[in-house]
Amino acid sequence: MRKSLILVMAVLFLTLMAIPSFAQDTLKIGAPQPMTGPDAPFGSKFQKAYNLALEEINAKGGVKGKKIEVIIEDHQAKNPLAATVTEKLITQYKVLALTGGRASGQAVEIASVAHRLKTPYLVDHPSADIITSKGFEWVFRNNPTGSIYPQAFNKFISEIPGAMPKSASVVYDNTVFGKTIANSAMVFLKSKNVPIVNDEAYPVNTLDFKPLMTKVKAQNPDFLLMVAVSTTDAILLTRQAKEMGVAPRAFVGFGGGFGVADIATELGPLSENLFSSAAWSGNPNDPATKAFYKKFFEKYNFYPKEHEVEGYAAIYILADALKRAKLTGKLEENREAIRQALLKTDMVTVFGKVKFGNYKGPLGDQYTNQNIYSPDHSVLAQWRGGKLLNVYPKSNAEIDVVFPDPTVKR
Amino acid sequence: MKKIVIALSLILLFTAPLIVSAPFFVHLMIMVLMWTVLGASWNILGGFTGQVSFGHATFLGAGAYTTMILYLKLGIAPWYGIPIGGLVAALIALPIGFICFRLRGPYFALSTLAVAEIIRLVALNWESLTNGPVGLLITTLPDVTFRGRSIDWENKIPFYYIIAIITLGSIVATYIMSRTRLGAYSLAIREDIDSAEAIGINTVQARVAALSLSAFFAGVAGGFYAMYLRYIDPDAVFSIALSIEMVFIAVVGGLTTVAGPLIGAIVLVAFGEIFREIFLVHFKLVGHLIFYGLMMMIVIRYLPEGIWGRLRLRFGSQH
Repeated sequence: MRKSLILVMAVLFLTLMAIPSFAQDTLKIGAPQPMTGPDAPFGSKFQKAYNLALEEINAKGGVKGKKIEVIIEDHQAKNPLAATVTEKLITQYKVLALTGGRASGQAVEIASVAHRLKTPYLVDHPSADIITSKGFEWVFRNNPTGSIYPQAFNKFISEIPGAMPKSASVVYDNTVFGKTIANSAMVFLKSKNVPIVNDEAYPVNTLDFKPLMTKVKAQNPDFLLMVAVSTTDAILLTRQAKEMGVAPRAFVGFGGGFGVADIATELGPLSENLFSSAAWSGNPNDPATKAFYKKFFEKYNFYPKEHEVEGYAAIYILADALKRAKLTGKLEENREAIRQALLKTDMVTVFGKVKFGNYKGPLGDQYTNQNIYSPDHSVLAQWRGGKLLNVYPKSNAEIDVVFPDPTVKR
Repeated sequence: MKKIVIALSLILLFTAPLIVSAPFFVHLMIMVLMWTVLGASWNILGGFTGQVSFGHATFLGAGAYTTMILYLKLGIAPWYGIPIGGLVAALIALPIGFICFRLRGPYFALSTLAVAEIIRLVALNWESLTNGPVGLLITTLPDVTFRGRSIDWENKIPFYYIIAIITLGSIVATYIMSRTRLGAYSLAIREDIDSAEAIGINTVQARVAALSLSAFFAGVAGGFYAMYLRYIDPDAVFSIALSIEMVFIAVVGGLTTVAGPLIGAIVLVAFGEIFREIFLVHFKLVGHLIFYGLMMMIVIRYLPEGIWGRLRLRFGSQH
């Protein structure tokens, strides 16, 4: 009984793998995403974004008379599994191109496989610089890299009169994201001769920041820069800094932790005027982006953030490349044609302008096929009355900036 | 009969990539064999010696980092790096063993968990050596000629044969160990450590020896992981999840059996794929992990001696 069950499963498995699962003639895009495990909520965000874009494109007749199809595979936020599902999408499902990835570790694995198996991969969210700085010619990235994130903050302190910090304390979590952003900000500050009075890394989900904040307070910094991927870290950092009487002219948060609604609900009035160097999710003053926000809300009943905007834009970028590529019917040739088409991409999506190019990043990395408009895709926002509103640069601003922070007594 | 089975298995092991040539299946077979080595490694310590470790990712990570660093910083090719990685893992196991084996049972298990976490933090913060959280990435492998032909590293076949040889090595080592004095000591320790001591076995030494052998194979598998997947970071190779998966493979296959880890790896990797394929791709449902978990529960409830452990009893085999 037991043996026959195993046998049946094995046969089922082999047949399933042997038949190319979708008989219709579609243009296939593969997307490895975390659909289960700790990152599952993000996988589902991208799935929604992809579906909305596909509905729109396919309702208008698709591309070259064929429908576009996105095959999502689950990598469970595990690196070896990311390599496995990418292999499967490329060699079994014979996808024309790849997107997705979600976290940097898995995206590096996908990029490495895509590069070897010569399949174009459009990165839509992962931000580690390494993905587009190792010369992977089959890998393209629309979203900014980690080291580009602090650009808006850098512009703000350089362009607003009197905003250049006299000294700065920098605390950051010891993840790729945290270290990259902190390094990038510190390199810029040092180039402006701003003394860095604290340079402190902490592990994610630290329970008590008081020892760290004691060190910071002793230096009485002019600016306090905090990087937190985790929301609880962002909340605790801000709360304990303020409770202990650290009194800079500006509290500046970087990273996902400072961009979520919990900051306002948990911190209450303590969140007022806290800066957040926010993830770019399109220019809110752009009518097309506004229209997309509304359309997305009508379909899913929540407003899109960076993940949804990035996922939606990625499908449009790939559809544009598919439209321009000469598809011959031979898989290898088609993939090469799509890569060539991506190299010539020059378009505007809800995320912003996109054109891929090679240039030097803020930390000296040599980027390949990285969106050349990425440095413009950085924005500084501020928590005001419980809402996170863009304040800088002016073209993306939703409200005037409050600086220096009047709630802090120096 | 037994000899025929072994001969057939060997032929199958070395001709499989010629029979099934689709790259994805070769990739799956490579993953199965890599997990087999990891399961076999855990089985040497957890099965034969009865010392439960929840931190075996330590040795996998040590091997992976050694191979990667030797290649990226000193230009030593990974095929030399892989055995060196195993040796480094075995060396790291020595102090860990001498310290942690003062503890017994659950205390030992917990201390391995702690050691894994310490090593992960070291890798995360020793940036000049490990590149910290950014991780290490290989983009190309060096040229090698084998019998006058240049080996194509973009092809999976060379990787398959490398891991097949490593797997064979781990299974043979397990078999030899089960037949030697160390194997007898281990069994005695597993059954009753106090009696083992009473009859004059140096239990700390025997357990450290078993741990080092076990760590060597985990390190070799780690070196292979680095060379095949070409990217490592501390959270990927030192994760607790990896340690737990090694335990599962050994337990599902059958503890203290020679062939158990291979069966465990085939079942877990293959079933993981089947469930994902059926649910996610065909029915667009995210339910595959529930069934995967359910299957594990069924195995543990009804086959506590593992799949191979049960089959072995039926066929009257000893391994």
